[in-house]
Amino acid sequence: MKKNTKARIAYLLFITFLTWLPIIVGVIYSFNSGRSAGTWSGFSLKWYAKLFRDRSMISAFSNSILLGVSSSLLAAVISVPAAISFRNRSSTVVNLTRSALMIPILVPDIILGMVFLAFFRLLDLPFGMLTLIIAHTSFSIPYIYTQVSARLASMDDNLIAASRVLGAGPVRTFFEITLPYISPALLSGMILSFAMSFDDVIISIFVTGVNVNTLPIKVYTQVKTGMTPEVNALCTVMLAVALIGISLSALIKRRYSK
Amino acid sequence: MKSKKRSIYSALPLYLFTLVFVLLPILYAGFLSFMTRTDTWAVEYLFTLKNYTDIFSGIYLETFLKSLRLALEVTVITVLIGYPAGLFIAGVSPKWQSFFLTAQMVPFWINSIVRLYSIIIMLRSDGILGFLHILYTYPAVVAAMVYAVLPFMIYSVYSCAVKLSESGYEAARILGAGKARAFLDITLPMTAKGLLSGITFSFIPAMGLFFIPTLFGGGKILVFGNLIEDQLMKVHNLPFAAALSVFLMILTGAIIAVTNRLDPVEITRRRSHRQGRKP
Repeated sequence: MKKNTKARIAYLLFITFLTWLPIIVGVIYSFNSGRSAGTWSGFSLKWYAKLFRDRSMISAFSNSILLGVSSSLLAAVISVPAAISFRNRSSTVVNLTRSALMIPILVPDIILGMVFLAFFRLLDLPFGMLTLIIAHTSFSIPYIYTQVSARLASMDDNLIAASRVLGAGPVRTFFEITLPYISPALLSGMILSFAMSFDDVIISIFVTGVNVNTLPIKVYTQVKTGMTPEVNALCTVMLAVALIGISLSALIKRRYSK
Repeated sequence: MKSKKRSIYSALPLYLFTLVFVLLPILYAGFLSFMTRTDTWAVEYLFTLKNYTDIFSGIYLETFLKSLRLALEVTVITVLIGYPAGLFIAGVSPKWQSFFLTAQMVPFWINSIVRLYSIIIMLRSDGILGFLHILYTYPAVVAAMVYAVLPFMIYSVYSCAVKLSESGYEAARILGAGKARAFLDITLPMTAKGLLSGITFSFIPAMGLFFIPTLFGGGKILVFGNLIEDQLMKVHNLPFAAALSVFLMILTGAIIAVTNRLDPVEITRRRSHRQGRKP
């Protein structure tokens, strides 16, 4: 068995290396002074300077943050009360709703984008942040709902009963008993849906307006039109943010588990 | 009674949102797929089956079949690489396990187009993988697709495999089953649910991820998603785009229904019954 484990780890290290290779290459070339992306012509920070001075890039970035945060918050506000209400219930309407709310992550992104484009045109909604938020909320709900309802399934009914017997109203019971109990699941669902929103090109490209760019759309159009070394600088920045975020969450976890 | 009523109200936002922004848009797209496009790019509410008959003619059918083939190839490669990886992560010590899971998770936080751009740099003629000469060809599209969907396969298999202990496999080995037999009769059926969901999450995106052929195929390779994108952004034929979407949606639904129906444990039991009758 032991020999086997070594071969397994070697295989996994190789796969991990392949997964990371593009990121490593992106980070290295972000410090390359030349315009040609393939050859090394000396150390330089000019692509970072260019990235941080690019107004359209900055505004695309802040649009993406705004979009991710507001759609995951909205999805949480919609999903959490429903998950609590649907707990231990199974009527036809409830079961149908449970299946229907999953549709946005089951169908290919391109279909969701097409369907929303047609529907928003029918409603004559102004294409832009509003339509983006509606579309992203629709695929954030399934992530948050499934995480929260899985957590609720393991909750002891007596906790709520005890709170109510002791005189707390339903609102107070929610904030002091249920919400703290589901918060890890809620948080991980919201983080997951934020990540999905922050990475989405296909749905966004169909439902955004001419004046509103998200970061993925901006990067996509830039890469499509040609060589853009500042995208490498963006790769490094995102990696740094991801590493900081992951170490912070590990630190918080360690503190809580103590 | 009172609390039950209140709990119905608390689900009201979800009912409304699902009805207005999930079900209605899909129904409208279904309706639209039977309508006619006017010469001025508008939609005329005149019933027609032309959009559906068009799918099965010439270039559209050809693109669909090619896209199907590409998705199949991507899925097979993803299974071959990702299934063992998912199994292995579940099998190594907890320390290695959390290392590999984190290592798979970090890239997820870096925008996928940014990562794909780095792959383009590597594949360019002056890049470190330039000697392969595959950029703007079919293999580059396949490789980039595999890169995009692999994490989902690994994670689906891992999350299924981590729940099963190795004792079943060990028991089969002690009872005299060979390595292959123990794997086929114990490990594979027990992890088939994860494998099937991984297949679903590779096959379905591989039909729709239109930006990968655009960036890696040099305009020569199209997937089904490119057809829908063209109808929406260039040709402005909303009814035909809707028909293409309904067609892909039905295909997706069929795949999900089939993978949900397959009960791996039941299939194995029947198989071993058959084998048991042989002397």
